[in-house]
Amino acid sequence: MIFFRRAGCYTVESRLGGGRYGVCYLARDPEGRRVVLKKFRPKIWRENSGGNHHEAVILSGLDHPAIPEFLGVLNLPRGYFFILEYKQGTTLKDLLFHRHTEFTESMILRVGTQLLDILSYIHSRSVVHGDISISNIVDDGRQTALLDFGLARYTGGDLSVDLDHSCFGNVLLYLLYSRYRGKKFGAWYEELDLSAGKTLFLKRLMGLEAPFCDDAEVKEAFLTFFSD
Amino acid sequence: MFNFFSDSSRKRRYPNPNRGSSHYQKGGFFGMGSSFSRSGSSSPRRQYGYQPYPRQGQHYGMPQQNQGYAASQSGSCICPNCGASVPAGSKFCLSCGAKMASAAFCPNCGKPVPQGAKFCPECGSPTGR
Repeated sequence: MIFFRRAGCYTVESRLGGGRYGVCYLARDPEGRRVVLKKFRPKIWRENSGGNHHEAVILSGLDHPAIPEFLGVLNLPRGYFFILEYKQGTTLKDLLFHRHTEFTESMILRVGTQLLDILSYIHSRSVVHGDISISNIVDDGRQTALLDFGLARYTGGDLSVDLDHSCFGNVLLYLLYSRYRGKKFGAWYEELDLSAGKTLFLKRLMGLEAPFCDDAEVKEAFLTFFSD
Repeated sequence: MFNFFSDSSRKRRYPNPNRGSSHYQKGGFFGMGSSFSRSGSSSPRRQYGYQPYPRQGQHYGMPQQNQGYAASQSGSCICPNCGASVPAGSKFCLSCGAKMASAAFCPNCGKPVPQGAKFCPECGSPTGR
């Protein structure tokens, strides 16, 4: 439900989604371009007063077609908003659980490769996303985009790139399970009928085996085991 | 200060590596294991009665106001429009939204560099200024 139709010079069209931080709205700027207004919950904003700037700074330093551009700030009496570029597509969560999309091997290969390209880029800029999930990835059938840098941080602090690798593995498991019709009896490595290479790859991502050293190693292994 | 990333929250952000179909084929609220499960009641009606956000003329980043960012190693600059303190690298003033021309990032490591810095304080590379 939308409680307002205008925010500054922006016209709010619909509610895109929400989380602990607040709510995201689809809106149009005065030129008619689609943007996202990310409205922060006052309580969360206050509680996280030492870290509110991270998303703004990190997005300011990123320039990638699959990452929303940081377009501005709205500080209004009715709320505090970040203005972000709108990325076309449907979240993987909606594709999996509302549209019941079954991800084929080629679809997983495309989405996985594009996600790894995004991860290689942000890690090269010293950024750890920290919250890669099926809710924060949108896909339009051709291109995958990574959203929500609210928990992202620069490397050298609390987070390291292996968190993104683990979360990437978790996303791959969601996609692999989209075609699973077997019984529920255990962990993914017991239930899914995967090749030994794929299983080892996913175990390394998830921290059950020796982790990967860097993104290049992850991508090389992914292409090796998911291209066949 | 509130520690946004306590040890326990860091661990919680790594997905459980031993889950199966009972998790990955459940898409509802409890199946995601995401931050949604941690959202609490925010009592919005009570909170909209005052302005919890830094307004123009206030210094967004001053810790004593408990509103802005903590002073970072990369420093900050002053918004020419409203005078608020803006974290280094932000393209916009986080208080008034004015565009900041001084935002710059290290061409090598990608981290924000303070205004006027000739070398990145993180990796030491020349910033090209």
